[in-house]
Amino acid sequence: MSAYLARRIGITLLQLLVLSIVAFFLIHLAPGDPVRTMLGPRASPHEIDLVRQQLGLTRALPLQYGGFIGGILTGHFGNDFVYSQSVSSLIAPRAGISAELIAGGLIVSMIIGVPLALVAAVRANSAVDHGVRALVTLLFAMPSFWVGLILALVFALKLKWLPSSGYSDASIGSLIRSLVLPCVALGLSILAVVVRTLRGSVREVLRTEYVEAARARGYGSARVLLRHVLRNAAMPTATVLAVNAGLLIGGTVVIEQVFQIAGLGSLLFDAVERRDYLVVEYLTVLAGSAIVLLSFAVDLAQVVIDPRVSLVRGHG
Amino acid sequence: MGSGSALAPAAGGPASLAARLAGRARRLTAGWNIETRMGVVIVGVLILISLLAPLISPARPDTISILDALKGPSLAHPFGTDYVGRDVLSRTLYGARIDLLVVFTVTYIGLIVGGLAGMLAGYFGGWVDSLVGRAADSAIAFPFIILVLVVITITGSGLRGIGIGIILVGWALYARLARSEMLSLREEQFMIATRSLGYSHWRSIFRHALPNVIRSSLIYSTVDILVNLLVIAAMSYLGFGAQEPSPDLGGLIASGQPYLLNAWWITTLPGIFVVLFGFGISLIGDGLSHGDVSVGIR
Repeated sequence: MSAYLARRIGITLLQLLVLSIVAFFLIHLAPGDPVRTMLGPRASPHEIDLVRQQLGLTRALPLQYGGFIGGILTGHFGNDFVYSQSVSSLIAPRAGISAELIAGGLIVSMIIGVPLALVAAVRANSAVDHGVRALVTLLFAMPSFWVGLILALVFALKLKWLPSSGYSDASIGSLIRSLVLPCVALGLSILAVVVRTLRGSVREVLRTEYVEAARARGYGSARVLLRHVLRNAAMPTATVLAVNAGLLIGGTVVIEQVFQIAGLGSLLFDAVERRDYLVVEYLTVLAGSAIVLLSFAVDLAQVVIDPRVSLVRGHG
Repeated sequence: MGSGSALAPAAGGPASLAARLAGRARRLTAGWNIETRMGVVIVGVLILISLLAPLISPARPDTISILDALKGPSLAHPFGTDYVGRDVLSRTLYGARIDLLVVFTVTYIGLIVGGLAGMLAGYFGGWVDSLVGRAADSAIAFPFIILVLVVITITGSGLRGIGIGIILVGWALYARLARSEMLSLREEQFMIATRSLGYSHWRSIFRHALPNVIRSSLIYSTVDILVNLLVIAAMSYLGFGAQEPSPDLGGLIASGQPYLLNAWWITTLPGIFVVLFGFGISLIGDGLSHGDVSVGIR
């Protein structure tokens, strides 16, 4: 167990290192001059030099990378040139909003996905199963921003049940109302991943002997399904979701734009549009680290919850 | 086909060629189940109408007619008109043409590059394998959409940046697939035989291994095309894709957003192309893998 843990921590640290190196050098070694692009064609050479010095771009590359890593570790990301305020103060208030969106999207995908997957798995290869598969495939083919716009059209503009854009945390009610449509759009975009994986693992668990044993004891099918099957099928699904967290994080960039929500996604969008390299760099590492750490957390949880995992993987 | 009696002496040529092609097509499609067939029909029709856009679209995609602005769907304009009276159906077909061209190009560049790297990694092992493996791991660890955005920051708006970003990640999954296929293939009798017979590495890899390695990559490419199409559409929705006057589908959908309430057709109807195409291509993928191979979704 401890050997597995040590190896897993090593892999995680290595992934984080690679992530920061790739993000840093992708932008710093790219052809073209970031400062020139940022300031536009009318900037004088003197202005460009000045800004370059302010951003520390005149230092040697390894030193710059060191500063970049130091910034990440200490939380002092330096001052952003475009917004003339510290990058941390740009990121901090928005991080919570995006986290709420992502959590909401996950919840929506579970509320819709778990029952669909259970029905499809229990009645495998029936008309219901095929119907669920067709529905999920169809939903997966829909661009999330398009779904968002249609939801906004129907539930906000036509029916006027919910706001069509903006974010409000004035009260719990207004918070939920402003998050429902974006979260549904986000949740539907990963529904296919949830349903397909969960259906597969539920079918596998249904074939195991302990499920047979539970049935033999005369437990009702609902109890077997919820207490024995779902619990064992949850872990593989969590793993797949962690791997696909990138989809959700990337999805927030688009969904925040559809619903005009000022989270990290819209900050990244602005930064890309203004070609604000510093913010893009930090947000990339932040998003990447979130995914790496998430998959680490899921693996860790798996070891704690299910002792079989460490036994199998420890020798692998 | 050629016409007239001048070709008469060679008449057997084209005819037997046609017969051969028909036979080959029949053999190719023989193993297809109903899902694959339906998918091929849907995708085929959509590719055809977008390729033929200049011939079949009701109007030029950029003809402005202020008097017809924001008209709902009608016989003359099945998808309605936009805020300056341009025909939305024509703009959809032209936009789809751009998107399909880009998505097929980037997906199959990724397949070729990744497939090649993976085959070499699996065949030679050693440092080639670790090099390809590490590179693929770091490409996959990156959040896909965010990497594409990073590339756009560097290149500026346009389909070029989007394409480069997609390929930077896309090759990696094909490399993994091809590598693992090659690893198990290397132990097969016929591959061992190529070595005993003294065939060159080149001949072993490309004549004997390739046909067996490629299948799983081709099946995976169906899901990949859909994911890439969605990313391209999302990026151009954000305004980073093909620019006016002939935007691709994402940009077209975005251009309708300010008129969502009064002219719902500008935003909603072009999206149907993506949904139908995606559904069709998923059917092909599901059908080919017989639903039992779980093909990963990024």
